[in-house]
Formats: sequence, C-alpha cells, structure tokens
Amino acid sequence: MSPDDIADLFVDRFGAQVIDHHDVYGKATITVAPEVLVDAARVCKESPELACTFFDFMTGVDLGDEGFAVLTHLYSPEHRHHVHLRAVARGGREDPRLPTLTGVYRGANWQEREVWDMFGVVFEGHPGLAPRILTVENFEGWPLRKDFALTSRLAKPWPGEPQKSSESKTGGSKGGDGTGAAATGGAAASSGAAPAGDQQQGERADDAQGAEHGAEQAESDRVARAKAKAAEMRRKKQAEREAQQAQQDGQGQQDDAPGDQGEEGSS
Amino acid sequence: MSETLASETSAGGVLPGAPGEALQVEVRGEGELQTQDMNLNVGPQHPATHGVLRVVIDVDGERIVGAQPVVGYMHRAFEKLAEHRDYRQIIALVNRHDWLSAFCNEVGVALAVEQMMELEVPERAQWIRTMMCEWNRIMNHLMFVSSFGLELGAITPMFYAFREREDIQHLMESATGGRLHFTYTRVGGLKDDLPLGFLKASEELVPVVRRRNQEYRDLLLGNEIFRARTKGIGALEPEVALDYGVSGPSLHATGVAEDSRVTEPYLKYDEVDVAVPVARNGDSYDRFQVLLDRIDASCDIIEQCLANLPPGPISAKVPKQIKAPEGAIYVRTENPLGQGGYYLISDGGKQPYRMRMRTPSFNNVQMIPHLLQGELLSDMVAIMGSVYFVVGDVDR
Repeated sequence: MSPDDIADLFVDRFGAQVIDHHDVYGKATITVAPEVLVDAARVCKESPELACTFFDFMTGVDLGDEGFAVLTHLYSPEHRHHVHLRAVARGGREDPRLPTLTGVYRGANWQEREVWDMFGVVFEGHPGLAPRILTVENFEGWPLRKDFALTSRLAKPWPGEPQKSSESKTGGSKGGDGTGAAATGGAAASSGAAPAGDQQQGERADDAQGAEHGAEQAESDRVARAKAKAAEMRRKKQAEREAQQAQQDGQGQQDDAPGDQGEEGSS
Repeated sequence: MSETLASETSAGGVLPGAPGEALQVEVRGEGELQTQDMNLNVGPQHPATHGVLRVVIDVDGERIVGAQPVVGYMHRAFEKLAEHRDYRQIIALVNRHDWLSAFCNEVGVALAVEQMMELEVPERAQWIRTMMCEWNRIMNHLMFVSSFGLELGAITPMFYAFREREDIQHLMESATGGRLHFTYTRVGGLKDDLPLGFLKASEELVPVVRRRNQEYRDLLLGNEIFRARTKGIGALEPEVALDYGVSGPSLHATGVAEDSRVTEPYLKYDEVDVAVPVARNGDSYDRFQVLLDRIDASCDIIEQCLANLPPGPISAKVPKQIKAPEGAIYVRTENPLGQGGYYLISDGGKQPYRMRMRTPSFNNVQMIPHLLQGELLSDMVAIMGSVYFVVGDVDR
C-alpha cells in the first residue's frame, strides 16, 4: 500500500483520533491519539491489507514544551510497506504516559523499557519497566531529554566547534599562537619570527574586539578566524623561508650550526 | 548425615562403591525427589556470551524454566553522543556500536543523510560501498562461524576462520586504513579511491574464501557431534521472530526471506543478484547453515561488483559543512547480523536533533528467553551462540 492509502485506512477507521499523517520519504507517519494507540497497533498487525507483522523499533522524541512523542516503526514483510505509528504522551514533560503495546507485539517490551529509561515515558500496563535496561539501576534523570546536558560538553567544548564567546576564543587562540611561535621560532633559530608573531596577535585581538561590538557577531567571528589563519600561514611561510636561509648560512659556517641546535634541544 | 548413611533401614540398599567398599543409602518417603528452582547467573564473563551479556536463568534440575538477559553493561550513550556531533563524526561513532559490522553501519548513516540532502552519489562510490559491505559481511560471519564451533567444543574452526578473516582485514585495511573501525564512508561518497592492487587481491581472495567455506561446511555441518547438539535445538517460529523484530540469519532460518537488500534495494543491490539463503526449521543448525550460505552469497555479490565497477569520481560535491534539511527519515540496511536502521530527525543544523540506532542485536537478544524456555541447561550455549549478536550492538 502507498503511504496515502495507509493514511486513508487509518482515517476511515479512527476518524478524528488520527491527529496527523504525512508521507516521510515514502513511509507513512500516522499520529494518533494515545487512547487509540493500542487499537491502531492491533489494526496494523491484524488487518490483512496492512499485515505489519514485523515489529521494528520504538523511539522517543523530545518535543520541547509539548512533551514527548513515541514513534513505533512497523513493517510488513508481505506487502513491503512501512508504518510509523506516532503518539504524543499525555501529561506533558512532568508525567508523560502512554499505553503499552506489549499486548500486541512482544518486541515492544524491551523497546518500551528503553524509552522509559531514556525519556521517562511511563507505559501503563507494561509488565515491568524497572530496573533500568541500559543505564545503571540507580541512575538519576532521563538521558535523552534535551534538558539533560552532556557533562563532558559542558566541561569542555568539542575541539573545532565554534566557541560562543569571543573572549575565550581569543584567549584560546593566543595560547595556541604562543606555542606555535615558540616551536617555529625554535626550529628556525631566527630572531625575526618573534616580533612578527606579536604583531599578528595584536592584529587579531583588534579583530576580536571589533567582533564583540559588531552586529553580526558570527559573521565577523568567521572573518576574524579567516584573517588569523591567513596571518598564521604568512608567518609559517616566512619562518620556512628563514629556516632555509639559516640552513644555507649554516652550510657556510658548519662549525656553528650543530652547537646551535644542541642548545635549542636542551632548552 | 553419616548416621543415615551408616544406619540400616528396611528402605535402604547397598550401592556398589570402590572395590571393597559399599555405600548404604536410606530412602525416605515415597522415593520421589523434591526439586527446587535454582537461580543461576551466567555472565557477564562467560565464553558463550560474546562479550558481557549476562543472563539470569532459573533452572529446575537440568531444565531452564526462565531466563532474563541483563543488558546495559556496555551502554555508551551513542544516541546522546550523536546529538553532539556532526555527520562526519557520527560516521566514526557508528563504527563502534557493532564493531563487527563497522562498514555496514557507516553506510547506513551516509545513506540517511544523502537521501535527506538529495545527493547523487557517484556510481563508482556506490559499487565500492556495495563490495565493501559484502567483505564486511563475510568477515563478520567468519567470526561467528568460528566462535560457534568454539562454543560447542570445536577449537579448530576458530584458527582456520581467522586465517581468512585476517586476509580480508588486510584487504580492507589497505583501502580504508582501519582494521576494525574503517571510517571509509563520507557523506556523498568515500574517503579515498581503492589502492592499486586491491581489485586483483579481491579477485584472488574470493575463490579462497569460497573454498574454505566449503571446508567449514564439511568440518562442522558434517560433524556428528555438531549435528546432535544443534539439530532441533532452540527452534524459533517465524511468527514469534517477526513479533520480536528478529532479523538477519535468525529470521532467515525460520523461512522468512525478509532482506532489505532485496525488498528495498539500496546502493547497487538492485543491479546484482542477491541470493537470500533461507532454511525451514529455525533451529540452531539452520541458523548456522544460513550463516555459511550467506558467505557464499556474499562472494557472488563481490564478484559481480568487481565485474561491474566503473571508473569515475568517488565522491559527490558536498558543502564544507554538511547540514541535513529539516525533517525525519528512516533508512534500513541489511547488516550482517540483521536489519540495521537509522531514524534521523534533523532540525536543519549540522548535528542531528535525534538519532535512533535500530540495532539487530537488541531485538535478537530480547528473543533469547523465548528460546531458552524449557530447554536443557547444556543446550544453552548452542542456542545463545547461534542467535548471533554483538553485545556492543545491544547496549549501544
């Protein structure tokens, strides 16, 4: 059956209890009222034209203030069509509740336990949601709710992620700059690199300050980053040139060169 | 105790002991034994559990009257982590929940994002993906072929099968740079083209795998002990399998030929002949036979991929930052252990809003108590070993 036909069948059967239906990439997604969820699942499984005997998976979705939706995916190996059965839990965020599907599909047992474990949606009539199936028994909170923060991300942002405040950005990149300058400066054994580095840093700090006052902060942030990157490239190139120069010089005065390197190695 | 043993009663008898000794026993009552259910913990560390699956079973004598798998020991919150990563990083992440089907997992994510972005993936990339999926499938199945033998007391297959596994691993490593976590797929194509000599090595390896597979068939399926221990053990009915959402070899062994490579072809599976081996009885023996047959079927697919591999680019033009458009999609793939799927909800950002990983092992393990019910304790290993699962895939 095509997704439209499936939707029509549900509308015929449940009328106004079908809250919403749409075709998602060739798969019917039917949102029904929680009261008829079990009946709808039974229709899916038992009606010959649907025959969705394969219980695939169940998942919760955080809808924000609206609460939680639970989506059940059913498939018919016979007719090769899919049904996403969706219901929004009663009780909002405080006490989300839905009837259990364990009476219809045996596979719903663990899937509902997982949804409860992750979202805190209580399935009425379930033979036993506790103990928590995936997290530890004494775990507190509902991990997949959006208000449950990922602690490691709070402590330290993912590297490469654009940082929120430009203050920390300049701070972070300054540190990186300093070590970079030290490393290249050391390798090149040149006195010219250090002041050049300072100059770049000054330039960048100015940019960052401009970004703070700018109306479109993200935009100017990106510009600042691009400029900083260009400056870094310029500096690297210069350092390379100088390193080459130093090497050429070193070939002329081979006695000095090893001593120089040894010193830097120890420092 | 010693008193009862020593005392002579009318109901007692004399049992033969060591030479020159005799053991006197007393039987009280009607001579019926009172039995009591015993609670037995198997795992988390047990050879039959492929990782850290723990099963609490109730036994009445030798019979299992109830079993409850206790999962979650390897829960790593992948679904939460996925909400904090971009799609490129997620590909590296999904390599890890089922570490034996890494490539098939990453293809699933790439397909979901590509379908949402309406990306046209170059032909060559699709063919290479198809071939790699099948190599990964063989690698996975060889693992279970060998470990199932091991669990039933046959150590030899383990050594033999790891020989081919190693060859395939070398092959995949030459292309992807990884032995276990390939991370070869990118949204829109692949990381790199195949290295020089890959196709020749593939071509040479296929007949080797096919020949060796026949050896395992003879070695195990032809073995009297193996047959006795697996035939008629842990039979699964097709209706129950579907009800639990069991997929892959365990489902095919019951006679249901549901395989998304055939019913809803993705990649290039619509342009190759995909044989879906099925069996009838759904017992341990059938599940194992299906596994071996699937290796042969994969060999056929690889040969077709090698014959059809076109030249061309290996990646579509993609924006630097990949953002799936707003909406939801469910993409399922036939992973080595069964149906894998990703339900992806995007709010238009570079990270998914919600990513549900539908893993075959979770549903398969949930069904295990049904199989264990009423079986003998000694058959437990033969049953659990033949419902192929990876614990990381259960717990995610």
